[in-house]
Amino acid sequence: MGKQPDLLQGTLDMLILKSVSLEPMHGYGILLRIQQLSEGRLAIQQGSLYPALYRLEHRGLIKAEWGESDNNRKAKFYRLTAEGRRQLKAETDNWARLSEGVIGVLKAVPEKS
Amino acid sequence: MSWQARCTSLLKSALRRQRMEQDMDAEMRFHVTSYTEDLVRSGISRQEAERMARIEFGRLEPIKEDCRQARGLRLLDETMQDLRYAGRMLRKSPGFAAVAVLTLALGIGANTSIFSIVDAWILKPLPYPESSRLVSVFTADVKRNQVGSTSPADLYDWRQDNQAFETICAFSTPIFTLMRGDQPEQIVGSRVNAEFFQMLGVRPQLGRGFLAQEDQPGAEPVAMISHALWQSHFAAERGIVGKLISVNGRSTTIIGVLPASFHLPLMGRSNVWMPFAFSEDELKSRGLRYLDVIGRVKPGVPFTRAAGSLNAVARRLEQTYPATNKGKSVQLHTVQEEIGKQGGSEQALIIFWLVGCVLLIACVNVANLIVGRAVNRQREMSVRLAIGAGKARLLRQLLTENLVLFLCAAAVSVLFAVWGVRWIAQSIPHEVRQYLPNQGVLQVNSETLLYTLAIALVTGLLFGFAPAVHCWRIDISHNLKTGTSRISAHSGGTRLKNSLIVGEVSLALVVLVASGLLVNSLLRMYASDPGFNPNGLVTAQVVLSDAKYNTRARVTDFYSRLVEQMQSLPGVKSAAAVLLIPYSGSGNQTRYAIDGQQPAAPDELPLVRLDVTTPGYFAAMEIPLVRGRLLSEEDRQETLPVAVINQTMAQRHWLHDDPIGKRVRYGVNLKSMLTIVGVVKDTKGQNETDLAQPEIYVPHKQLPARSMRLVIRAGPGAGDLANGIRQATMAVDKEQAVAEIQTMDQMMEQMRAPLVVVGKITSFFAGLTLFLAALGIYGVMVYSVAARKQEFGIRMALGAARRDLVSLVVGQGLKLASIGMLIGLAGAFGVTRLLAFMLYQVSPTDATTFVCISLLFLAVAALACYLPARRASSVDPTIALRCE
Repeated sequence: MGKQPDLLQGTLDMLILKSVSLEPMHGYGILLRIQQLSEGRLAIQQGSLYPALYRLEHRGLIKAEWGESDNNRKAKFYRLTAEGRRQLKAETDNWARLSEGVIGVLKAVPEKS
Repeated sequence: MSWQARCTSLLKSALRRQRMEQDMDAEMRFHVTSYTEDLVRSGISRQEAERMARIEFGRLEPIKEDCRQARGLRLLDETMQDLRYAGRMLRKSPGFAAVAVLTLALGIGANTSIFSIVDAWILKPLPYPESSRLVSVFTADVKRNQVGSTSPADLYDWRQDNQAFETICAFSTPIFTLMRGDQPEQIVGSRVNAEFFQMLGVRPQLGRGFLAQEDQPGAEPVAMISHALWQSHFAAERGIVGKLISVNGRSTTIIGVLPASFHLPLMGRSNVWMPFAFSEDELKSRGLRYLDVIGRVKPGVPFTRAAGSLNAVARRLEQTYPATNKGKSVQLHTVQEEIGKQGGSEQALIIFWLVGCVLLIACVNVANLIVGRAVNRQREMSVRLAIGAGKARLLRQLLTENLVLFLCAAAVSVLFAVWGVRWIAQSIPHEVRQYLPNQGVLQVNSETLLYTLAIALVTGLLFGFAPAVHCWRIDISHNLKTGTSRISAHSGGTRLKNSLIVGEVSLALVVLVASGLLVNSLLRMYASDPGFNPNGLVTAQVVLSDAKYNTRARVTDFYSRLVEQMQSLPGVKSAAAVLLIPYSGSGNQTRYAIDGQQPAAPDELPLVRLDVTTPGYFAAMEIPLVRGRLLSEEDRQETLPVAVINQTMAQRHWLHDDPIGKRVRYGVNLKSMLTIVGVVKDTKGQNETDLAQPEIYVPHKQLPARSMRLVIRAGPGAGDLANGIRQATMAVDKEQAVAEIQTMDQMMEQMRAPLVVVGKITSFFAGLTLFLAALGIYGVMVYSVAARKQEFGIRMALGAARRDLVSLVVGQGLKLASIGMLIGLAGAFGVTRLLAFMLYQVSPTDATTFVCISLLFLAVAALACYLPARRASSVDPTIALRCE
């Protein structure tokens, strides 16, 4: 897999929450949605998606139901719970603050004496 | 709540394990298939697409395992695995498992049994609504630091003048004479204020409670009866309410039946309740204090304010009536506390701590066994560490194993507890049980079982953890390289074991010394001289009704004729009647002054036990005369008032003088006068510990008493006197009954019951403690001897004699034991004063007991060391040397 940057610890959870907040979707769909939205800049180890989904479901942030996929197969669809919505909001705010901070540091230019 | 979500999710996954596995499989297959199809659509051959999809998804099994872990299933799986492994390990060494489980079960079972007492008598709230607001109120004597009963006049002042109580009610427990057909019967009853049951919050099962006017002077007599009496005397007839019965010769209306569940231990086994019928005179009397008082504090009023409110009244009464109330204040205890104290809650707590020690000792033994095993399993552990098991994982597994052991023991302990509780309940005399909550019935119930589980878990974690941590320090490479499962005698295992054994011995010494003191007390109690001959004595209680026996002559005539009747019964050697009999628990004191000496201030006058007897009392009891003469039939109302005193009284006032002919003033305002005519030996007083009190005996014709006890000395072969006593009484008065017909021995046993029961229980636990401690020392010595086999071989090869080896090992064991003993003796020295209230003529630091217990323990410890030492020394040196 090319030269895409690794995901930061915990970022995957946030991306999953964001994806399922748009509409209920299955695991493969989430993977495609993240790749599409990030224009292929974020790579996710396909298998590692599932432990993350199970962890989020265990924490009550998402809920799974079996349903029909576009190609008429049985697939497990995940959707956001109220608890998950709160968590997503908190993590988004947190991320915004963090990235602003990081960008602020990186934009610094040498002071002229 | 998110932890709830987690628990449901874990539970769901655990219960529907197969379903979850299938779902997981289907979900991942769907992913791979979808991806494959997308790849095919983008122009890659199906075969290549399938291969790529599988590679990019990654290996299925580790991902699934991660998913399971995310659900918390991994912990569950591992725990199940640990449990199965623990079961296998225990089955593999049944000897170890049996010893450990039995030892622990004994310790836990002992604690469960004692806890069931503590729970029933101390912790469980009383069965009345808002029972925490119920308090026992006592008149307290500040100077003597005593609490006691209350007079009617004081009671009504308290009731009127305080703001802190909803109600204050009194009760007394007289004996009532009940006519059952034409058979008179005496039963324990109670007089109470009309609001008494309302205050407790108890409703009658049938009929009604007392009305406010029913405890006023001149009210028609009414009675409530107990459920038990309703069943035994009235065949549980529902139409009982409104019927008439004869109580104390007056016809009385039954107005209600109390529920079977009602039992107030403070009243004993009361079966009939009647409202007080105070006369105008009684309502004014302050000096005669005979009422027990219970009050219900208003909601939200703190205890201290309630006490303060009553004490304000008491201070006012002190000023208004100094003659009777000077130095009297009020003290409150909760009713629960008071019932517990009467039921032996203090004794129960002491035993509770002792069995706590027994459990710790049992735990130490098992911990030692576990350490011994853990050391033998070092190789197993090293291998498992070497092939990649985490240390935390191994620790958890060992802990699980130990917890399984403790939980098995808890299950077995329930058997011991059921048996123990039955044993304890049976060793409490029947007469004592009626003063206990729930009539002394003890059972193993859900609360006690919960307690069992709790102590098993706590001790299991505590004592299972220490040996498990020990494995933490394993040096893998060393153990694998040497390829040996043995360790040297000086490794950490031995150090841990040694300190455990020292702790165990010191705890054991505390338990042994405590029970030694109690047993010593018991021995002294049984060896002590009561001052009379109790063998073959039968006693009975007679209470004459004041309505019928309303003149002096009638009372004295009754008792004179009764004693005559008794003496004519076949097999009876002598008989008498007396107001206060030793061991009866009741007393009667009067203030007195020696005539001719300047009397002290009224409230500082000395007190003396004042007893009333028929003349034959001393002969019947076999109380020896020391000087002068005994009381005689000729001492009548119209002759000179005389008295016989006991030796303590004689020594107090006439150490160098002859008391005969001296005169004593006593009674209200010292108005009465007595002339001493004789001195007799001391007897015990109200109970076992009531010794050497001054006492005055006066003839019944000169100071008649309506309630007297009969003492009848039966000759050999007199048989059961109960019927004869009843008939003789009815021959004098056909409506008069006798109560409490029992032998003097039975009476003494009831008084001795608390110490006997506690002594029995503690000596059982002391035996157990000694056995466990010996077993503990033995176990450590066997282990240490086995570890030093090679060293002994070398010593013997170099010429050491068997005797040298034995003394080497025994000496070493005894050194450990001695350190423990010293700590234990010091500890015992510090804590045994908590036992002082139970001890009889034994000081809490009694040197004999301390020395005897130490010697006993030393002997047992020496034996426990000697057996393994002898085995070690009998090893053939060549075999010992070769075996490594």
